[in-house]
This record gives sequence, structure tokens and C-alpha cells, in this order.
Amino acid sequence: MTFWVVQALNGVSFGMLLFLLAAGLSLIFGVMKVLNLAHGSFYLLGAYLGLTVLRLTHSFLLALAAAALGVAALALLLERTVLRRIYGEELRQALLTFGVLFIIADQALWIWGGNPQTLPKPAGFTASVRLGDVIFPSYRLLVIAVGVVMGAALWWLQERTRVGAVIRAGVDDEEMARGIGVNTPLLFTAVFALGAFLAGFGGVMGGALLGVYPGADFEVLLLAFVVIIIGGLGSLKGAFVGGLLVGLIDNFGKAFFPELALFTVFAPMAAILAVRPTGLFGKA
Amino acid sequence: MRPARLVGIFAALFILAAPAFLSTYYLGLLTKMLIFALFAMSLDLLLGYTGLPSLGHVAYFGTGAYTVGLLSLRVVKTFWINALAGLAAPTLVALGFNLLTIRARGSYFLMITLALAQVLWGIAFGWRSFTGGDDGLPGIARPMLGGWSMAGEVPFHYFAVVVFGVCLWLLSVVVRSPLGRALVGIRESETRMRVLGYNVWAYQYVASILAGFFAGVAGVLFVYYNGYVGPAYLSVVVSGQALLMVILGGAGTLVGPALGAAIIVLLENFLSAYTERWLTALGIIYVVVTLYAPRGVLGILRDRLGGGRRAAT
Amino acid sequence: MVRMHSEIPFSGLRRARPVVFCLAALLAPALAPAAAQAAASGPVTIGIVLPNTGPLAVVGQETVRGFDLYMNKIGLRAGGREILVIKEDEEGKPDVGLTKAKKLVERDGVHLVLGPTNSATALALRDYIDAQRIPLVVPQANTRILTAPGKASRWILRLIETSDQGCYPMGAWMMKNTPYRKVFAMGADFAIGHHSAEAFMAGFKAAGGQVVKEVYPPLNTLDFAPYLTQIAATPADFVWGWIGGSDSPRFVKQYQEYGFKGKVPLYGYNTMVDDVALPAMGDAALGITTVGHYTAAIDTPANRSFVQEFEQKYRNWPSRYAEAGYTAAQLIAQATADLQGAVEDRAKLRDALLAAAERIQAPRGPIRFDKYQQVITDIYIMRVERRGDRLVNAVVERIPAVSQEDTWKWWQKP
Repeated sequence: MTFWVVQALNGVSFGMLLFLLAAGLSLIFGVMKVLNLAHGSFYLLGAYLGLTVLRLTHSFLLALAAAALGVAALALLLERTVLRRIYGEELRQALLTFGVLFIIADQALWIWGGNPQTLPKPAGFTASVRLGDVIFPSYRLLVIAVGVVMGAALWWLQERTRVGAVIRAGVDDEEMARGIGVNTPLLFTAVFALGAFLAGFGGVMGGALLGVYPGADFEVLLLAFVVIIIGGLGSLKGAFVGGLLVGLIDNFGKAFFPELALFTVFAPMAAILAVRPTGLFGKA
Repeated sequence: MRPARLVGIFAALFILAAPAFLSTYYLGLLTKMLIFALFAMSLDLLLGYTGLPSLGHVAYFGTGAYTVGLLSLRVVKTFWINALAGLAAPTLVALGFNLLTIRARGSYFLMITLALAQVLWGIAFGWRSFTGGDDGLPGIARPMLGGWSMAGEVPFHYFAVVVFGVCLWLLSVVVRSPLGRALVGIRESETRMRVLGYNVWAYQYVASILAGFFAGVAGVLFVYYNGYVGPAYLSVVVSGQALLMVILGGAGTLVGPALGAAIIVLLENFLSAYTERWLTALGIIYVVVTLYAPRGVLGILRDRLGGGRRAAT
Repeated sequence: MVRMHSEIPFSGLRRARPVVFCLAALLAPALAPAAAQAAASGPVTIGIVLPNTGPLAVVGQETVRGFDLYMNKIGLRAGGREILVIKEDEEGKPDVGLTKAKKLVERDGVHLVLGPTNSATALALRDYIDAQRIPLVVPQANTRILTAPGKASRWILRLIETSDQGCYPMGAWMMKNTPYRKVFAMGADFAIGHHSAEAFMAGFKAAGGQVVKEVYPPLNTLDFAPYLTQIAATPADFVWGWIGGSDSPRFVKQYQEYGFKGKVPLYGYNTMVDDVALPAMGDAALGITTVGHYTAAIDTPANRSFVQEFEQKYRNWPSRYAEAGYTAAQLIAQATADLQGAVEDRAKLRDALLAAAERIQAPRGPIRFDKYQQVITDIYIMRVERRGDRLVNAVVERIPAVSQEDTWKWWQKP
């Protein structure tokens, strides 16, 4: 019984983190049709920024804000200065973000060094809680809560606000949206910044759980990628469900079939690609 | 004589005569350039001629390399068997993968090709007992061809040159054939080609198989070149490198990517001697090339040198 | 975006000039003559092939720090000649390592090579180094295969213990010094993780212990919970693990978070709590007992002065990687001095390196090489403690002069 509870909670908490990481990537792809290969780099940068702010102020909230906003600001700059010049050129945009990946990875190595680090957890969530005879880290429960709240906030933004309607219009048909007067350049900038904001936010949340180190950018990019393929591109619901699925499959898969560890992540992805390439909730 | 032809002859002479005046290190580097030139040219068939941007081209490269490595270490060392298998495997993978990918376009195509290549990477990395996992497979001996060992830099160089030459010739035949012209037409406008009665999907599929095949050749050469194969041979970084080589050299020009490959291989080897921040420099090159030189070196050169007939785009 | 294949009409060779010029400029470095082997009056050239980028960057950088520390201490001179160090980044990738090694040997004309970190790279380099007949001093790559009969090369010297040398003796140590008898063994899912866990289990079983379960989480496992929760389901009374790199802080923290710290003691190989990763772990690491060839807490005059020098320059205690770099520099400098600078004869240089081992005072203690050019070294059992405001690997016991030939009997049939 303990085993099931721990694995399930674990899968859900990992899944929520994956949701945070994938949501931004999915949004950027859905609206801008840009494959943002620098998304993992936004995570990395967010985690490192959060680490520095945490060391200076010991405030987790401040670190979250600084990291998310800092990364969003960088993304805004990137989008305005370089990415926007090659709109519609999907390959060139993807390659450009690839170059940004290298630059950020190298600069981070230079600035923060190569030692693997973990972000200190926020006060009040450093200990583990007892639920019956289950011992579970309270921070992971926080991640679940934050994930759900963030998911709800994004859903509300998407479904209940004008901004969200504009975003949905952009995902559905960008040309049409432009036709009815949506300021697409502004939309694109906003979406790119929002995606980066989520990645940076995820960087701090994830940094306390998974740590931050050279190579984390690739690992996160890969995971986010798997989630949006399974969940469907441009779909927030897809990112949420996809994240949960991947988190649970990964956890239970490793527990039951430890020899197949990596397959538990890639097999569902391959299956979806073969059967329903647009993902569970993606547009056909 | 056209300047392009002149340069081509110069390059060919240089490559053939290289062992006479290049040290073994530089000769080896030249061989590496040829291997990646082939890889980039194979991608150009798909990207430059057919208009399909693949971020998963490394799948065929790596499959060719692993097939040869696994067979050569565990089954038999005969070159012809291993090479044939090393060419068959990526072709089979291409046949399978591209059934799934050729429906997609643009960023979707980028994504699905990346995803499929990552599945292969995951197998290579995770299935330790079979592929050696992260450690890869070292100790792969260079082949014996008709009594000659390819172990030395010079014989292997000529071996690579011959393979490269044959592939270059084959690729140029494809490109100049009706198939090649149809591919260009599809790149320019799929709707128009469909209206004209072409089975667009079939043409794209064939192009992707050919592209995968030639990428596999490059992979076979590379595993013999290094004597080693590892998951890095299936990494998205190499796919990205190939794309950069094609764009930098000039997509759709067949030999442009070869030039791009030569430049990138040189840069990657020498940048690190000049600065510890060579990765940042490489990233900047990616950004600058994609922003300012989308038509690549050959594209720019052709504009400046030519004045003659150019098809309207 | 892309133009069609266009015909360029003949317009004179003048037009071709810029093209030919560009190509020539690109290829010019290729025509530059390879550096000739340095004449006996030039500098002694050492090629370093270690990672400076990528996940192993910090290990490579630490090794170089230790190396530079000693080299600068002796003023970059030995045997009456200057020392020139050429550093190349192998990025943690075997094929890049091979290319860079070729550059150092064939283009830069180095007298010997130091590196690599990655065992996969070391194995990829083995045939090349052997064919080139140039000494390679290996500071980290500790795969047992590299110096085993059949694979060992006369030209490859290694400075740290193999997975066997480190882990096998700990089995007997556990039986003798702890009350624990049933192990839950873990190793990262790659060669070193497997070999290390296997060596420990073999040593433990040979001494009478019992292996209850073995699990091998993949490299870069983000979440160890699926593996950790299995511990409670077994009768194991301790856990022994090979964990390294970015996995280490995660593993150690998660071990505590899931409630195992304090209930099931954790043992392992030193990479789990090495001085590079230890600062990030905090108190979660306290009490973890590991084995390895070096800790900065070794209390000998030679080590204390090394630690002091290192801390003065880099404001950190040296890690096991820094020590390997420092020892390598000592060895190379001593060999050069013994040869009075005549390093051109590579076989003589190799022999001098082997002999120099017994003349240097490495920070860890005395070393020498066995007949497979593998080091015979002291290894230390150590436990993480807090001293003041820093966490250290405090020495629990020193096991002197461990050789691979004593510790490989369970897999290497004579």
C-alpha cells in the first residue's frame, strides 16, 4: 500500500513539474509555430538565477519572481531583436534557438561553474511529512499544489480572458487571426515571453527537486518534448495530461521494469507518433 | 571554363593529392570533412531540393554506424557484409520512419523527425547490454579491402574519397534526373505539382529514402574512421550541425553543403584552441548564419558571380 | 528562399579569383607544416585532453587546477627545460577526445598526453595511443578494462584506482568493521556503475556477506524514488551505491527525503559525496561512508601543505580530481628531471614516468605502478562529517597499497 501511494504521489509531482516545463514549449509551438530549442536553456537560466537570488536573499518567492521575470525579459529581448526577423521561416527559427541554447549553456557554465547544484527548498517545506506509514517530502506536495494552481491560472487565462481568446485564435489559425485585426507581432512577443516565464518558473521549482548542472538544459528539453508530443501541440490540456501521464508512466515503469528505464519515457512517445501524430489533444 | 568548374577541379586535385603534403592530422581532418560533406549533402537532398527540414537526419547516420559497429565487434569482420548491413539498416529505418513523417510540414516535420531520432537515441543510450549504452562500442577495427588494410590514414583517406566520389556522382545524377526536377518543383509549390498530376507524397517519400541511404553511408564511414560508436552519433546536436552545414554552404546546391561541412569541421577543431568559450562562438555562428546568410556561401557566391539565367522563385 | 541551380556564364577568370581566394584562405592552415618534434632545446610539451565543457567539465577543470598548481610551483621548468602545456577540450565525448588527441600528438608534437576523464574516451583512445607509441597518463578514467591483461598497453599509465581496487576491499571492510550483513546494491547503469557495484558485492560475498538486491538506475535519473522505495521491501540493513556526477546531489537528498537516512545507513564509492558535489548536499550527506583514493582531510604533512596551497589559490579544498592532476604533474616533472630533460625518446620517457612514481610524494600517500602500468595506491574509507562550516570526507581507515591484481580475482581468471 505504501509503495503505491508513494509512487503515485511521486508520479503526480514529477508530472506537475513536467507540465510547468512543457506548457511554455507547447504554447510557443502552437501560436508561433516555432520549435523553441532553447526552452531547456530557459529552465537552466531560471534555476541558476533563482539559485543566486536565493543565496542573496534566502527568499524562495523572490527567487521565483526574479527567475521567471528575468528569463521572460531575456526571451522578450531575443524575440524582438532576432527571432522576429525570420517569421515564418520555421527551420531558421529553430536553428537560431539552437544557437541560443549553446550560448546560454556556455555562459551559464562560465558564470556559475560546472558543479552540480540544488536549490535550497523554501522554508517550511524542507522536511518530510508522515502520512500514515508513508514518508514523503513535503516539497513535492508543494510542487503538486503549485502545478495545479498554475494550471488553473493558465486555463482561466486561456478560456476566460480576452488575451486567452486571442491566444487561442492564434493557435487555431494565425492568418485568420491577423485578418480580423489581431496584432500578431505583439501576440508573438507576449507568447514567447510567457513561455519563457513558465520555463524560468519551472526552473526554480524544478531546481529544488532535480538540481541544476551543465546538461540539465538538454534533459529538460527532451522531457518537455516528450510531453508535448504525447499531449498534443498548442494544447494546455495536453501539456497537463501529457505531463501527468509521463510522470506516472515513468515512475511506475521504473519501479516495475527497471531494466527498461528509458523506454518507459520513449515508448509512449513512439506509440503516439505512430498512431496519432498530433498527440492526444492536439489539433488534427 | 566556368569558375565553378575550375574550383571543383582544384578541390578534387587537392583532395587526391593531399597525402603528399598534409600531415596525418590534417589528412584525417580532411577525411572527416568528406564524411560530413556526404552527410550534409544527403540532408540537402531532403531539405534543399525537396523542401523538407529534418531535425532527425542523424537517425540514419547513427543507425549505419551502430550496425557496422555491432556486427564488426560481435559477428563477423568481413567488410562487405558489414557495409551492406550498414547500408540496409538505415534504409529500412528510413522506409519506416518516413511513412510517419512525410505527412507533416514545416515545424511539425522538424518536430516529428526529431522525436523519431530521439527514440533511436533512447535505445542506444538505454539498452546497455546491446549497444554499450553511454559508453558506446570502442575497438572497432578498420576494414581490410582486397588485402589492403585501411588502418593507416592514407589508405583510409582514399577509401573515403572513392566512396564520397561515387556518392557525389550518384547524388548529382538524382538531382539532374526528372525525379530531381520534380522535387524542386514540389519544393517551389506542392499545389502546382499536384495539379500537374504528380504524386507529391510518393516523390517526397522516395527523396527521404535516398537521403537516409546516403546519410547511412556517411555513418558507416564515420564509425570506421573513429573505430568507435556511441549515442552521440544519434544526438540532436549532430542533426543540428548538419542543418547548419547545409544552410551555411547553400541549400539546394548539392555541393554547397560540402563546403559548409568543411567550414564547420574546421571551425569546431580550431575554435577551441583560441578560446575556452568556443561553444558561445559556435552558438553565435548559428545565430548569425540563420539570420544573415540563409542562402549560404554558395548562394551568395552565385549571386555575385553569376548574372545569367536564374529561375524565378 | 532557395534558388534553383543556375548556370554561370563564362566571364573570365577574374570573376573566379575571389572564390579561389576564399577557398585558399580556408585551406591555408591545413598547409601549415606540422610542428616538428621539439628539438632538445625547445620546451617539454605536454598535451592535455580533458573536458572543459559538458557534464564532466567540472572534473576536467579540477584536474587542470591541480596540475597547474604544481607546474606553477616549479616555475614551469624541469630537467633544465621549459614546460609548455597545450590544453584541448574533449567535451566528454569519445570521438572528440580522439580527434583532439590526434591534434596534440600529430600537429602539436607533444611529448606525452594527459587525460582523459571519461572511461569511454580512454577506451576509444587506447588503440591510437598504443599505435603511436606515446605515453598517456590517465588521471581519472577508472574502467578496469583499460589496464587488464589483453587490453593494457605499455604506453598507458593510470593514476587512480580501478573500480575493483576501490570497491572490492570495502566489502571485507564492511564485514569486519560494521554490524551490517545484508546489502541492497545500486550502481548507475553504465560500465563504471556496474563494475563498481559488482566489485563491492564480490568482495562482500567473499567475506561472508549477503546481497539482497541489485538495482541499476540509468544515468541522469531525475527521480530515484522508484528505486529507493524498493529498499523497504527487502531485509537489507544497508545500501551500497555507485552514484556520480549530477546524480549525486539528487540521490543523496532524495535518500533523506524519503526517510532512509538514519534508518538504512548509506555506503558507496566516493563519487557520491566527492568534494565537488558535497557542498550542494548540505546535512543530507552527513554520515555517508565511502571509499576512494583521496580526501582533502588526509592528515599527512604532504597533504596538508597541498591542501593549503590549493586553498590559497582557489579558495576551496581540493577534490580527488585536483589531487590526480597534481600527482600527474609531480610525476611528469620528476620523470623529466630524472631524464635531465631528454624526453624525446618516448620509451625512455615512459620508463622514467613509471620509475618516478616511487620518488614523488603524492598528496594521497605513496604510489607505484604494477606490471600493467596501473597504480598501486592507498585507498581510504571515509565518512562525511562537519568540521566548522564545511563538510569534509573524514578518514576512517587507510587501506595501504591496494593493487588491481589482488582485487580482480572474481572476474579475471589467471
